[in-house]
Amino acid sequence: MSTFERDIGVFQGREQRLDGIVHFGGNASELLKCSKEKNMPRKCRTYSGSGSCAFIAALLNTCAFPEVKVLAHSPVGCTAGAILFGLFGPIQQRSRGVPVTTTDIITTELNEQDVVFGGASKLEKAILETDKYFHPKAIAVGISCAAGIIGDDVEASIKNVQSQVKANVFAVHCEGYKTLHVGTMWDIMWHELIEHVIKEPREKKKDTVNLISGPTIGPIDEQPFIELLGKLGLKANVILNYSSLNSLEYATESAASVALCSQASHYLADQLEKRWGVPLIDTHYAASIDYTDDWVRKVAKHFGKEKEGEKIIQEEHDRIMPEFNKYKKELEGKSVFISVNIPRALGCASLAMELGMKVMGVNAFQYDPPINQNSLESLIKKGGDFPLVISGIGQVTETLNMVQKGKPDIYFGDFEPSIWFAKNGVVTLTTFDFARPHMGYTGALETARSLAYVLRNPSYHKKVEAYTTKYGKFPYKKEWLQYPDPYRFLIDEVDEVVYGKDFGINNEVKVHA
Amino acid sequence: MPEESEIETIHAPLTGSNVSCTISPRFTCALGGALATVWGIVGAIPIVHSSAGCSRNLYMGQCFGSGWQTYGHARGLMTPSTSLVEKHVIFGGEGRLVQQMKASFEITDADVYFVLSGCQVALIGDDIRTIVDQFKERSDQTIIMVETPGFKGNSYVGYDMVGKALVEQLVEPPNKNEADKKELSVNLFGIVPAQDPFWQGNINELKRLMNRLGVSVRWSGDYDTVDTIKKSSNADLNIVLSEYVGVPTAELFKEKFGVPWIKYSLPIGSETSKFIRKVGKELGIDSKLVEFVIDSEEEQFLKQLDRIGHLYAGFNLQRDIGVIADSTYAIGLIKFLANDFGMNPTFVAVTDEPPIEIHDTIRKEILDLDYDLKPRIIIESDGNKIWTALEETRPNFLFAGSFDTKVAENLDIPRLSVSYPITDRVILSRGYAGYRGSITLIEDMVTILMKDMHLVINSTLVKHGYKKSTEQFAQVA
Repeated sequence: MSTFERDIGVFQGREQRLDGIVHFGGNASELLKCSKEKNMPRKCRTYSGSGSCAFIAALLNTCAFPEVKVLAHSPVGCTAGAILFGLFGPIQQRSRGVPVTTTDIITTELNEQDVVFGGASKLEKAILETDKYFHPKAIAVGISCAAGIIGDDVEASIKNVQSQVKANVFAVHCEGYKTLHVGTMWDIMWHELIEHVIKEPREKKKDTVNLISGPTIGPIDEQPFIELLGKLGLKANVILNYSSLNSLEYATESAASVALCSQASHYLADQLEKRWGVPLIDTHYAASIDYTDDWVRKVAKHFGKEKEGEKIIQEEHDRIMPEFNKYKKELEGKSVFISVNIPRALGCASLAMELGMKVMGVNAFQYDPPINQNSLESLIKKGGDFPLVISGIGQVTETLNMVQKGKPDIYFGDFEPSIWFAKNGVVTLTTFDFARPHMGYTGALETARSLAYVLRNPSYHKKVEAYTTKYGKFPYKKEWLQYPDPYRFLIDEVDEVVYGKDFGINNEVKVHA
Repeated sequence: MPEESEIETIHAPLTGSNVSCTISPRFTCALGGALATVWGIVGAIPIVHSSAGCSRNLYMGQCFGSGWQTYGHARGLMTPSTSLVEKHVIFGGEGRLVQQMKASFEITDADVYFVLSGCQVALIGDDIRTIVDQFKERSDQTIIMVETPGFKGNSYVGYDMVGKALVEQLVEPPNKNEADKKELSVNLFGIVPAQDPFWQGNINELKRLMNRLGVSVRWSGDYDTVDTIKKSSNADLNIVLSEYVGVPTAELFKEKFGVPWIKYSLPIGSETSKFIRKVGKELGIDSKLVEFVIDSEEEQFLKQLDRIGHLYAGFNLQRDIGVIADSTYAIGLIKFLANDFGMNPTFVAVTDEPPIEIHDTIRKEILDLDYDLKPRIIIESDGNKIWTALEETRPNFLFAGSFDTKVAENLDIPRLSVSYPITDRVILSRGYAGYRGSITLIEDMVTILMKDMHLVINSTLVKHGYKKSTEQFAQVA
């Protein structure tokens, strides 16, 4: 297959391949209906906050696979976000007891001259230098917006120098404008890793399971699952282990794959199944007791170990339920708003329902029918309908409007929106913070404990709220926060005016006082 | 260690031809610097015309990388972004910008809007100016337009892009009535928010000193209001605290409003006295007052130096010092450490890609010391080349950024993070400028120096061909 075919013909984003969406606002049941009827709403936003880009996802992968270096063919700013991952990486590595590597940022630092005359020769030298300095197993050349638009032929540059370097060099077509879908961003990187890193199986390992972790899942969540698999007589091959590439290279040898988070891992698991016959055990995000039961049952069933599975479930329930019920009493009736990527959001909503909390709304990053439909359906069955926003990467535009009409007692979700809830006087708990487990039975218990605790001591959040109301101001106007329709900026994609002489600028610009 | 200061320039900025890549760059792009500057203005909201990732990525890079300080009226996810996708890159993103601006004016609460643009729109050629001009005519919002494509330069360049745009588009001509008032006032330029992790602390110390001279500070870069910036042309003097950052802004300011400017690289320690004298002279302040202020400040400064005396003299705190920082910090730190604290600077890497014309000025400033000390100076932003040079020189204390953790560990050099990016400490109000800042610097430095004494033991033993003592006894255990 030529490179050209691979890029244009075969690899498609989730928007095309899975009918995935990043823009939606309404009730969860509406989306479920569309999903079942295979008639997904195609929307876009006329107002948007900042988001993520495929480039960051590619960079994030380097800290999970230290043997792969990302060479950013980009202006110097594109790699900025990697500074955050330079913190994530060492935490992941130290807590696994593997060598701490630095997430090195390597950029061709495209300047004005380069965008005019092209950056190909610079890139070729950069590949040689990266190989010389880091001796990586593979070099992933990340193509930035600028490099993509000026049309540097990165594949040709790679061909020119491949013979001079030891590393396996490949291009990652992760231009920032490619997609707003975080899932697609991951898929782009997985696609290249699968093409260039994964090896044919040497043998088949009957008792090994690929346990595919996620970028914001740490050892504190993996360890209980590794031991759980152990009780079923299975060995876990943890993928995203922040050290050797082996776990990915020979993932083809495992008997099955099971994901902790279906969002980041989907493409990998899917390809392993289609191309190497490693079946994917489709599970919910095991953040609640129900979903963990289900996770254990499905894995046990796949390996014909139903009895052992039931035994584990019974033991774990006996272990955690007394304490869990204690927190349940404290949390019952409290309202919660959840905002995080979709599998986790649904998992966390499930936990909130088990704790007797009222789910005021969910803000999820994306929705892909084949991946998320089951979870969404089971959740609606479990706790009833709820307002649902699909927003790319947790944008707060709709969310903050939604929570004005009756503030939730607690925000539970991703770390980025939390400050805006705090400024609004809502206490917050971040789903994943490295230090507290949030998955499995232990995770459900610890999360319940933390939810109860932050409600008991909201002192920090109160101070931040006081600063905002007394000395500062909120970035959104009251008019918007109290506007009756939170979804007013979601329009049908076909209605968007992309080009033309008059963009409506001559219409009166309405500015509220 | 080289005997004499070597004149080395491994690569000049923006020359392109012989530079292939930069490892661990210590700045972000023009858009990053512009965003960091805009977030530092009270009630300012940037509307970013670019891919969705730019503003959030740069927020993480610029702010988290600056000691985890997260600031800005509409920061991170909240920053409005046109979030361009492929169709816009092909058909143009102008329609999307109009939509986004309209919606932003409707729902967000800002004192001033900045329309900033990324690489993509510069390359596809969107006519942002026309759109912004039309909005300026039709709405009563204050809108500043700055074209900030990332390939135009680094964070320092982005700072001046915003500075110049503000002088062009926001600052009002001096008001006679206000200018007639007796009180003297200045503006401060050249401290790039978040690119200097200690920007707030530094600006606050300088403000304090100015106030002691009876001078008020108008546009300082630290949480200025729109009103302050508008009226900044009433200032008597602009002070640029860098060898070149802020100079374009100050130049334009002078051209437009006739306010003179002086340049003085961020003063740390007793250098502050010279700084105060220079400002006092420029403003025509009574020298008796100037000397009184200097005297009382120096008394407090020297008192603290005296208080560390037993530790200093008792443990011979003099070390061979290495600095990896931007030109402003390189000059300030070396002068303070050499002139006040008895340190022997041996290695300086200037990381901010200053324009080639001022390389010599920077070298001259660094070498302008009270004692006969000749550190090796390289002007270089590439991590690999810096680390190679560091390995040759091997100082035994390093002021650097978090990128240098690994190399310092490998060479057993105790290290304090002082330059962007810093992810191993949290920085909120701490500052290193002025008299008080220099004492804070001593506290931070000596704490690490005492804690990591074993590293110096190791590196000294290795230098003389012995095994590391930590390894020797670890084996026994």
